[in-house]
Amino acid sequence: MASPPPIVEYAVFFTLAVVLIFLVGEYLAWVYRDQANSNYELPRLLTGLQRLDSVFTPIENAIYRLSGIKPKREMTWRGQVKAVLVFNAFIWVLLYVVLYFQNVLPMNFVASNTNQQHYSGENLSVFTHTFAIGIAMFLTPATGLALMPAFARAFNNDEDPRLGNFYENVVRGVVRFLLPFSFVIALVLMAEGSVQTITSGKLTAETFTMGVQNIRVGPHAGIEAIKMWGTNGGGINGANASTAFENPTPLSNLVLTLAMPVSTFCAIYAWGAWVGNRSHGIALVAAFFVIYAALTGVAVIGETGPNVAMEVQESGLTVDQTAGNMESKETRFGPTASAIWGLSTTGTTNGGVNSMHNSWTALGAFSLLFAFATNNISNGVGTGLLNVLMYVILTAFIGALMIGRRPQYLGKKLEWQEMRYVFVAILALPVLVLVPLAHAVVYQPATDAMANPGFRGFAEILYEFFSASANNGSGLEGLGDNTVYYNLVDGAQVLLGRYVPITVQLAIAGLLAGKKTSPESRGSLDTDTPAFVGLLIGIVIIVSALVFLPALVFGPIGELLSGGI
Amino acid sequence: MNRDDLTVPLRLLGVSLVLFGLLYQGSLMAIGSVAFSNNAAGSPVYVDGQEAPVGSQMIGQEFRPGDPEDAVYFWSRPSSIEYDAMTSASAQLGPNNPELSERARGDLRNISRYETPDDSVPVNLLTESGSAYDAHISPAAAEYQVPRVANQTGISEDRLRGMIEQATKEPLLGVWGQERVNVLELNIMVRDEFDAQNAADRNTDMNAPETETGERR
Repeated sequence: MASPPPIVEYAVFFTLAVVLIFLVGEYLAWVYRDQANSNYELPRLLTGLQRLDSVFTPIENAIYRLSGIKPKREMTWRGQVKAVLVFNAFIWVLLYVVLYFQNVLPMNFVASNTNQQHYSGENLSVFTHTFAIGIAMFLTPATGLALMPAFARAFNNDEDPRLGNFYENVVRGVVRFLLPFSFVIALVLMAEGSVQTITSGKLTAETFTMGVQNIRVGPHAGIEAIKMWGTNGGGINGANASTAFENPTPLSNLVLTLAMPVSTFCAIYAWGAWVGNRSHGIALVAAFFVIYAALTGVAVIGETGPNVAMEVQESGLTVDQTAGNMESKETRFGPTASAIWGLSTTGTTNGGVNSMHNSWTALGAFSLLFAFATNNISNGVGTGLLNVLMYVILTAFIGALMIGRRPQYLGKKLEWQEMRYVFVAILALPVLVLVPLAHAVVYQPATDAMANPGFRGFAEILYEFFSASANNGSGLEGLGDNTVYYNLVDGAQVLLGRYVPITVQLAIAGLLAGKKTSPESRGSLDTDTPAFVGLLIGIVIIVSALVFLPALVFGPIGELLSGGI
Repeated sequence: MNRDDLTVPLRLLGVSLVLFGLLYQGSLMAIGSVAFSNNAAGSPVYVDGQEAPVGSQMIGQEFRPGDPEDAVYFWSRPSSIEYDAMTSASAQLGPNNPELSERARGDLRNISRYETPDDSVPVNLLTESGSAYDAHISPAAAEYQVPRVANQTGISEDRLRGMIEQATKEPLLGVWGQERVNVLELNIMVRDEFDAQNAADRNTDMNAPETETGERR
């Protein structure tokens, strides 16, 4: 049995992804059915899931009691913002304290579901991974999850500003969504060969040819699982999921790669179920899935092609590149699976890597950066839905004006107050990326950190700032980014890039929740048709291309056109 | 601000420490040590005659074309960190980086000193992996080295191909991932065969001491 051709791996992956997005999407919709104030009912096929209540409800009630959460106490949007900020501040404090006592520069780390890893995972102890990073990896995606039902209420409420209890949503998200899935993924990883131990810290081998080889071991399986399912990124090893202890086989690679789009797209699917019509969710999934699959296709073409640096001749020998660009890629994954992973990690805010993106071809690097430019396509767990909806509301607004109707989405009128906040949310990314970028390229200490010359060096900084601002956390890692300059800039980007959009999104939810739901009339713009999907794709591409095209030209496009020099 | 606004998140954080730090990681560790004890411990590989493992099945080791002592073994992929598994990650050289071409030229030069079945060397053998300790090479990269290893060790090419087949793992159901050869596994077989041959040679030679085996680090 030889290795499968790229098209087979591509087809297998996206087919599985679609099926899982449907199944997990229905499940997630069920988890938050009441919190979203929806009249959701499970499809007949899946009614068995209701039995899970008898397992989860006692656990949740115990956590409510221990933490003093009163689920009945509802919050307005201001209350939600306050809860988000206070809760996340405590997570930062926990991380700061633990990391400080680890003697690691505690400037720039995970808290906002980002893992902007400037430390290499190997610098942290097993204790830190278990009790600080591991905790943050659960609680920050739970923060994102908790915001979704609040936003669904904006459309389901009729002149009612109450958006539910933030902490109740956090607990439900953790108990029903993050923990069970992570647990299953971790079991698969261990069965495939991931290490899971906290005892020794290393395995010592006496080898044939290289003397003693020390091998780092730790709680890899458990951390890896939540890092992928919670769109956290990072990991115990600096090289993340390219190392065998985090990602041992093609099967583990398939499970982890699927975890990225499924955990984010399932929420976009669930959206339709919450607002009362699944076709709305399917339309949004379709629009963003098309972008994701198309960019992945471009990356596969790029990475299965040759690496220009390998076109050399020496002592009568040349390099046979039919296997594709294998620089910084693992043999067991190959170029196709690495390309699919690459776009899955930048098409979400995951940030874990299974190959080193800095060694990708110009075409591959272009698709990575373009995925960033669309604000990580499906973005993160929970926050992804909210960011996607910013584009959707913008599209509904523009679409309605184009045909001369009053703009509305799902029966709620869109007026200047909401649109103002939508623009803030959408413009946050370009402002946070491009302004510091303009400074960095003329600032000596910033350019000194580049690992590669020319276009690729520019792309490294662009990628770095995208990664921080869009809460991704991966890097074109060649950039020597653990410097004061990058720690300060990226630290600010991580904070602003996450909490500014969350605040304005909750404000939008608050405004819309207080409005009357007007019935859909024949005159209003349909928001679940193929035409709307097409318009949405167009808007996403135009907005991201218009804003970021000049930067992309100086980076990967320039490299591509100059033949990779 | 209400007092609850501060105590609730603080208490929730405390509950989380127990739930995710102790229960989640702990139960995984317990299951791992019972059901997948070898994996959970890092998949150590043992050989006869030494107490410590010879390596991990998951982690590659350095067998380089530049090192004459390694010529009897199948080479693994280049590594900028020399297969130091306490750290990880390649040098991340971009395709526009002259250092990458330079490294490839150096490797080609070393490879050209031995038997070369083809003027075109499989890319797998010349590229660093992402982790920089890839345990595998591609079947093409292994096949390319068969004439050399056969010549250096005196093991027949057919026998070596049999070993490669034994060390080869298939893609998942033939549709996902790549066919790959575990270099350490393969080289353990090569060494066993090589040692057995040497021992047999010495036994036919009356002057040679009976039990000594080749000295290796």
